[in-house]
Amino acid sequence: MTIKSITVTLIAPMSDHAANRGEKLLGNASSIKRRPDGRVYISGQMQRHALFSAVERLNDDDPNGTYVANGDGPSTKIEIDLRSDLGGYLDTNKGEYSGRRTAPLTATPAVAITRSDIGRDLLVRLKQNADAESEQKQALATNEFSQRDDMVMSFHLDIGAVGVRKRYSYEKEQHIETQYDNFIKDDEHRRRVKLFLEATRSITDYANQARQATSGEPQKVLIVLDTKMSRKAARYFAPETSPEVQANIRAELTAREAQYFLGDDTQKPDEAKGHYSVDMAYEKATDALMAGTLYRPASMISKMPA
Amino acid sequence: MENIDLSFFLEPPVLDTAALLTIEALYPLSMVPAQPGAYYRSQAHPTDPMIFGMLENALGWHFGEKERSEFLKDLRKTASKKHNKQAKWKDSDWLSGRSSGSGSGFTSLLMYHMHVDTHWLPQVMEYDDLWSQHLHDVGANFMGGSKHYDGDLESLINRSKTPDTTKPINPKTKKYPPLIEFGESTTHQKLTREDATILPSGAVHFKSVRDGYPLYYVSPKRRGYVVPQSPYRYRIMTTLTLANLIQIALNDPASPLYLGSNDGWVDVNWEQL
Repeated sequence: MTIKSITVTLIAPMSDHAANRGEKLLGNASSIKRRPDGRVYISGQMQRHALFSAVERLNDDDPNGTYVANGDGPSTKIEIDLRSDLGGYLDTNKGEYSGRRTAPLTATPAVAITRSDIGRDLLVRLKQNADAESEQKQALATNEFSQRDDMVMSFHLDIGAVGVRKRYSYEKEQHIETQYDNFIKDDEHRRRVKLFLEATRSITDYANQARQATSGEPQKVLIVLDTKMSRKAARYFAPETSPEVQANIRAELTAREAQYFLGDDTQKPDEAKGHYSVDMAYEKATDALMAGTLYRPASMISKMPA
Repeated sequence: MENIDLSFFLEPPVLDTAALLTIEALYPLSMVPAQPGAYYRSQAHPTDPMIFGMLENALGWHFGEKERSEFLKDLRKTASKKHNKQAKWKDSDWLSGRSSGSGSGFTSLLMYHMHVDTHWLPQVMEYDDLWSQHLHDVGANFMGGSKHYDGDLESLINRSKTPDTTKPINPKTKKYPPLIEFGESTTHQKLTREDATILPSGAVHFKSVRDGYPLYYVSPKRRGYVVPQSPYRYRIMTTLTLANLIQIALNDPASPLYLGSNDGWVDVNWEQL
């Protein structure tokens, strides 16, 4: 089988957190982001930011000549800049092909499984200067946090698009020729895919990180090494997904020869029965990834320096 | 080399094949149809061009704006040669290239050969997200929009917030003007960054410190999201050729499928009736 895409969906418990701040609803301290049904969420933008922070940290161990550009200034060099390769870019000053790239790596918002209980913390700023003219007045602020949530989040990687740029040209008789320009070697390609998988279990960079130590590391995970471009498995841990639906999702994956790995830290692992812990699931998925065939478009034109 | 076959376009758009299109939102969607101002309001359901765009993604037709219009022009020319003798097609939208447009400059190749006939739309839950939009600007906005700047500028920025007590108080604000004032009029001097950082007081043009800031700055924007309570279902009228193309594409999509933004993941089903 050829692995075309990877879907990772996971549950991460968070407590006393404000992983993503929203608007200031109550005076002068920001509130936590919340949906009308009372479930707190972390926006897709924050999820991508946190994932790329994890990618950057992991990449620094063995960068192989690559780096992760700052979020505010991606380059267009997909051969060495992982943010532009995996995260896409839009540089309006360049032409169509060179300035636009859709992201092979995508993330969804993380949403709490159940209604969240919001607590409020009181912050006090004391007036330190007794001088009546002092600019700094005494101030009180309430800071929202959520007490305990199981956050469901998903990530997906389009493997064939990593390290590759598409170009089109009009041929005769209503045919469009697609050309794939390849910028990276196969082993670098595999390294980037593995980096993505590893990063999904290493997310820690949420809002207010310095004080709150909120972590998105999974307690339950489903990793799918998929033979087609599908993200249906992202629903696996959704609150409305019944055990029957879960069984059907698994059956569908098996039917199309996709490999999936379920990890659950809340149960005693039993390898014989296929009950893995989160760590085992990641280990096994990584092994399968390193041993498997990763999809790369046929007939790529190498753009690598000789 | 892979070839994309667009010959479906040359057939007259006789929409005699019906299909049921089911779109299930896997996560909240943000479907903003046009270039908005400060508020990105999401529609409760996808517009027709969004549906066409999603199907084109599945087909792997990621053409840019420029080449898209070239391809369309070429296809239209070939189709006209064949069919403009017939009164029925002579002045049709298909051969004359009239289009309703999507509001964001997207022209779909599918729009003449596909018609969204009836729809069953779910109830949606709506909420607004606060989104940090990254903007790239040559004007003066970068200064207020970015928290980050080069450390060398620290003392200069400090002086721009420090009142200059030697000057008269501004009667409007009842405050002293700052030592350093940034602006972009002719009275603001353009200096090199080195000279600007040691300037004790004066009027400095923004451009003097532009390269001490990131290329992008951030502006908070409200962006609407919707959570559909059940799948969207559409009855689509199309040609048999195109229906078959889409059937094949959705069984093995060329790229991941979205509606709206790139975190709006969907799962799509197509069933010919």
